[in-house]
Amino acid sequence: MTARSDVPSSASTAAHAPSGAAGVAALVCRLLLGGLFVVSGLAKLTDPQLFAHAIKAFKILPDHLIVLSTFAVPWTELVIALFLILGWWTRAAGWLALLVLAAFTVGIASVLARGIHAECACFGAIKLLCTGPMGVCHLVRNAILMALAVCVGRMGGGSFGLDCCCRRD
Amino acid sequence: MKPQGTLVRVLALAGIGIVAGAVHSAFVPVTLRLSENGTDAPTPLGPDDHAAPRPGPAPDAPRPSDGTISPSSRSGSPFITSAQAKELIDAGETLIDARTIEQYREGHIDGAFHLSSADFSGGRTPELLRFFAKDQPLVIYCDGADCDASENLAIFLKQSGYRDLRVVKEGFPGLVALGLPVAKGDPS
Repeated sequence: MTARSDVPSSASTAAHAPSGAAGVAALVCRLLLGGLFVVSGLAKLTDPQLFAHAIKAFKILPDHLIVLSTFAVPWTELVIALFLILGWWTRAAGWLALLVLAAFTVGIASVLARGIHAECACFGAIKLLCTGPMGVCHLVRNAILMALAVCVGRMGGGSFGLDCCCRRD
Repeated sequence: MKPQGTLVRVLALAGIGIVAGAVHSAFVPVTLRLSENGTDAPTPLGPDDHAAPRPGPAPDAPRPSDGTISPSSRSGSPFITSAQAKELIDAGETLIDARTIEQYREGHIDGAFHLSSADFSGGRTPELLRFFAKDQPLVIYCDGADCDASENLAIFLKQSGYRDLRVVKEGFPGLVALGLPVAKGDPS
């Protein structure tokens, strides 16, 4: 009996999934990014009023989109986190994390360019690395997280994710 | 995995998040604006509401002592001009700086307390509120026309039961322009 040509063999899956030190690095990257997105999503959902005001401070979206974003952003973060931690659809979750982070970064840069003083509710009331109003620190932090997301998007879930077990991605 | 397949998965994950958020938003209300009559508004104010604030109750109006709120303050707009704010401040009403703590340290209207929306995070009640009666006028300012911090704080205070809230639309620059003294340093 021969294997179907559209189902990857164990050898080809192993070739795509990082193993050894690279597999451990992929695991660390996705768990770190997934953990941060869990914290970020839960913190925002715990305090939707505060996050809504934070989005309002960007002065980019109309009110009805602010209300939708208040809940859609943290839920998207939690979905990303779940898939990253499980290592399932890891590349897709990594690239979506990059898109979300890029959107935040553009928003923060826009606020800075317009000289608006606003607090960052990026992690709800938790101040991760950066304190005070939105500034260059927040841009640098996001750049680091975006680099992490690129790593996850390129490496995938590694040897320890469901992607590897399911022979997908 | 082909790039198209990854793109489909990215869209699928984003779709799950957006649908979950849309459903959640239908059950949990958030308030973005104070309405002109001082109540939380489910719909946004129009541009004219900010451009032409209506006068609030007379600053020297007697404050009700029985815990009720006067009809004038109940129906008055929460948005006041710097001149109206100055009259209230001169009459000894409580002034709150809703800007960031860094801005407060750099300079605030003398006698202003510092309080911001972040102080309400996680459902907390700021310690400072123990000193404010629910029916006393609270005059709130931030950076001015482009700043939402004072209105945001007023929404949290309204949800905490405070009924007589005045938001100074011209904010700190407007009050300074009227000659109110500026102090520096941490909140006392």
